[in-house]
Order: sequence, then C-alpha cells, then structure tokens
Amino acid sequence: MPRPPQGQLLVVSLGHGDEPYRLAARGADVLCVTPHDVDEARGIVERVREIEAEVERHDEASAATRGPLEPLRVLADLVVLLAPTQDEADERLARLDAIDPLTSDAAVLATTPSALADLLVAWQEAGLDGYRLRPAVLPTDLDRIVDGLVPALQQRGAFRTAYVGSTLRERFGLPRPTSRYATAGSSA
Amino acid sequence: MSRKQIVLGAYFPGVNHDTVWSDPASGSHIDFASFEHWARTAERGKLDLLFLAEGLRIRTRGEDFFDQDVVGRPDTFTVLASLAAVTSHIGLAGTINSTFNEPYELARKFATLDVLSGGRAAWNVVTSSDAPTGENFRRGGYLGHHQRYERAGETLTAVRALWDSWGSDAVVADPSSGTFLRDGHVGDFAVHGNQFDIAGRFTVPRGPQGHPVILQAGESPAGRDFAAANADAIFSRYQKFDEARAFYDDVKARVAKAGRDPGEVRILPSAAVVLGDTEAEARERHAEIHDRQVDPWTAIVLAEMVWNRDLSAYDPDGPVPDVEPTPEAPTWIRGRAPLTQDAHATATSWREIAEARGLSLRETVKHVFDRAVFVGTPEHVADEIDRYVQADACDGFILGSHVSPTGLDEIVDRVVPILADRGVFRTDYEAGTLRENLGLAPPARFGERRPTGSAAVAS
Repeated sequence: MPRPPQGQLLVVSLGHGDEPYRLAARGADVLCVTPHDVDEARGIVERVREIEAEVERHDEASAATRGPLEPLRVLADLVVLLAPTQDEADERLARLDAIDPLTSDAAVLATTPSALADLLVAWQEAGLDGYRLRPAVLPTDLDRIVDGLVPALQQRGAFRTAYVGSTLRERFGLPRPTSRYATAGSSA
Repeated sequence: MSRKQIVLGAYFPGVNHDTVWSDPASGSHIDFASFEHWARTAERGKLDLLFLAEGLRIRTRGEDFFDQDVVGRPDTFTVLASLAAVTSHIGLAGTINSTFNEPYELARKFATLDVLSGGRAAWNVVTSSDAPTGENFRRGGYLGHHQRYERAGETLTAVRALWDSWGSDAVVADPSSGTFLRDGHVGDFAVHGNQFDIAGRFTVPRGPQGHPVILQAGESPAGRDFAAANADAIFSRYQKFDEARAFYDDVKARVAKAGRDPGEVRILPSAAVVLGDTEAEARERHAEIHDRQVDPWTAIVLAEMVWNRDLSAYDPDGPVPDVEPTPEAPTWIRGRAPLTQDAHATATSWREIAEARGLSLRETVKHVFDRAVFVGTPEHVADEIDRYVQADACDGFILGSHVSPTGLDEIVDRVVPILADRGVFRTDYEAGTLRENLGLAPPARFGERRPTGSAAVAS
C-alpha cells in the first residue's frame, strides 16, 4: 500500500498508571485517562508530562528532520448518562443500577447536558485536551450528547461548529509525519 | 429441460500486465471511489458477486522494484467491508491466504463481513509456497506443497468449527427475563491437528449464511482435490472451451469422489471481455489493447518469468531466446505466481509456436498470454457465455476488462441484458444471501462435510 493520507495513523491508547503512560509517551499521539474529579485530572496530566520528559519521546523517522514529537494529547474518558433534569438523570442511573450496577474504570456522570458542558469546560483547566465520552445507553445518550451537550458546548465557545481540515491528525492539530525514508527532494 | 441459470461475477482489474493503467480511462486502483464505482456497476447488472484478488508481496525483478504493472493493493477485508455499506445484494468475495493467517482471525473477519453485509461474504481460499511472501509474516519461511494443503485443510476445518460454535438462535436478548444468550457455552471450540492446537471461545455470532461461501482455485491434482472436497465454487483459469469442458468434468468427478453432490459446486472461469459494435471493430480494439498489455518490455519480463533469468539483452522483436531457462537459480521475478511448473518444456513450446507461426519473441508472448476470452459484439459475447454454460464447460464467469474501474460498465450495460432477456440470467435480485443466490444449500451446523485429508482434526 502507498503511504496513506495521514502518513502515520493516529495512535490512541488508554492508560491507568505510569507503565501505560510510559508506553504512550514513547509512541502514541493521544492518551486516554480516567480521572474522577478535576484535581485527579490535574495530577494525571502533570504525571504524564513528567513521564514525557523522562522517556525519549520520538519516532526514529522524524527526530532527525523535525525535532521532538508533539506532546501527547490527553483525553479524559467519561461514562455519560444524560437527562433534561438532574432528578431524571438520577432516576435513570438508579434504574440501570437496579438491573445491573453500572461500574466503570472511568467516572460515571449522570447529569444534564448543560451541567456536563460546564464540567467539561471546568476540567479543561486541569490541562486536558479533551474528552472521550462513553454513552451509558445507546442510542439514548449518544443522541443527548449530540442534541444537548454539543450545542451547550458551542454556546460556551468550547466546541467547533464545523469541521476544519480533512484528516484525523489535523483535527488533533498534529502534522503529517515525515517519512523515515524521505530523501531531499522527494515528497514526504 | 429448462436452461441453466448463469452465475456472473466481476473481478477488479488486477496487479498484472492485463491491466492497462496507462489507458486514459484508467482510474485509481486504491481509491474507494474506484471500488465503489465497480461495485455499484456490478450490482446494477444484478451480478452474483464481486471478486478481489490479493497480493502479499511487492513484486521485484532481480534487486529492483518491479513497477511495469500496477503496484499497490489495499487490504481485502477493509475494501469488502466498505463495499458492503454501498451495496445491498451482491456477494463480496475476497482472496485471503490460508498459509499466513490464523483460523481464529480468519473466522472472525469473515463472520463479521457476513453479519455486516447481511449474508454476502465469500472466501477464496488460497495457499502460498512463496518464501519471499512468507518473510512478511510472523510465521516466516513457507510451507512445502504437501504441507500447505494440510494447513489449508486444517485451517478451513477450524474456521468452520468456529463458525459453527454459535447456533443461529444463540442470541435471545430478552429484556423481560434479562437473558441475552440462550446457552452459556456459546462459542466453545477446540481444534487439534498437525498445524493447530487451539481452544477457546469464539466471539462473533453466526452470520446469515452460517458459513460464508467458499471459493477455491486449485490447479494441481492436490489443489483440485482440495477444492472438490471443500469449495462451494471453483474459480478456474481454463477459458478455452475444450479445456474448460475437460476441467469441469474432472472437477465434478472429484467432487463426487469426495462424497459430495456435483450439483452443489459452481465452476467459474475468469474471462476478460472486449466489445465492439461489429466483430471487426471488436477485434481491432482487442488488438490495440493487447498491444499495450504486452508492450516490448512486458514481453521480455514475461519471458523472464519462464526463463528465470535476465533476458534484457534480447530483442523483443527478435527470436525466442535460444538460451536455456535456469529454474534452479534464485527466483528472478518475485511476488508473482509462477507461470510454469516445467520451464524447459514451456520454453520449448514457445520456440515451437514461434517457428510454426513465424513469430518474434514479443508476438509469441502475445500469442501465449492472450487472456481475452470473449471478443466480439455484445450478442456474440452473450452467445458464447450461454454456450459455455449450457454445454457444461462452466456454470458462469467472473468477468472483467483491462481498465479499472469503468471497464465493467459496458459489459453490464450491453451483454448482461441480453442474457437476462433470454431467461438465463436474473432480471432482479430475490431477497437472499449469496449462498441462496448461487443456489447452494445452507450448511448444517457442525456440518458433516469435513475435508477428506484431515480426519484427525476434530472440532
């Protein structure tokens, strides 16, 4: 296969501690983490940045031509259960828990779209680059993310209103890596 | 007696000299848009299936990269899955190697394709004894001829055991009782043989076809026996009428010998089609295409595949080389299936053809490599397709042309409607799986059919 449009595909990994953070720091573009509050999020991001400094974060191709890699994009994983009011969200969660308790490695947030938007904006201050949302129930919670949360974030100026760029790497602000086999004069 | 219904498939122009990438009409061989155009065209013609070949090794000539032909081919599964999303009825057949893949992965991928496509998946099982291809894989190396059919047989047995590990009714998903699975043991499997010792739980529920359709293209006696014992349809290279008849009889006899009903195996040669408004125009067009397919350098390279040595010093417009082939030397052109089992005999026959007909090297190569089976008006091509099928030279054809992705268009627009008008090809799809469209029986779960050569493999 010829080199694909992104050059190198986006590498995403989920980690819950130093060992996987180290793996991600060596070779991934995006690291997903599982903080349960904003302070924990801040602690995790600080730890990830320390580990990035410790390991040689590079890929053998670009180090020579482009200098160090972009820092890891750090996303918080969150299980999301949404309802128009907090009471309804609590009820939905209680109903699910009664069938089979909803447990997760990630924080479970049962709330309203607007409150969740506020929380996501607030957690940004911990140094997170974004979030990977896990809808608690499909398609209900995905619909509510798209129809409720996204407009709420857009109103706060915290989320795009149209796609910019075409590749996934561009969406994360990551350049197309130079091919390790590129020579002067050839296209990368 | 009613006339046989013809099976028709479409191949995507391949990575070889038959594909004229320099044709002004030629599009990308890797972009989704090309595959999509091809698939939609085939489905517009109500064809039975799409067929993708596979190449696992970039071709080289000596130490050099071989870029005389199209280079680069995307992954079969990914392409077929993307085509499942833009088609509704047509079968999705992919060539996947049984030498370098694990049964668990193969079973998962084909079962997934079958589920996602609503029962349209088909697997063309191939083996490889090509060491340079093996270098790409964790197995490394390669398997000898005998072992690669042992592995293919055990792979197929294991894959079928995995497909059988879920019952059709395994998923209950009853909210009132909170029951998702009928049987807690769903997916259990254990396969032990010379090539595999695996046990575990399979993750993909049974697809609509039960087992995706199995295609095979055995040429050698061992290959033909393997196909006869295992395949639902056999892809053949025998395109001349008499050769095709002989192959048909031979394989159907082998199917019966394997204890199967010969009527449950479809035999499908590939056929390139060149059309014209008149016979003369079609012949002229074919001559032009063929001239580009076997240009002077391609003629040398194809001769090198037989001679297994550098023939670049020879004149394509001169005689067939008088030096002897060196089949024992390191492989000169890598990444292509060998053209001959007996290089000396092939070289001799080329010299005889050249002498008898007064042909140059290039003209001889063109004579030998004329893969266009059907050249003529749409009526003539339809007549020929029908004649082959009604006379049991085959059950249908995998059709294509020298240009991707639009080469199929005129075949679908001009030839297929004639066959439909004659009542030997469907005018529309009936709702159903590929297996049903091909008139094949549904496979029994824990099917009684087992490859004859691998009785030791139990599921």
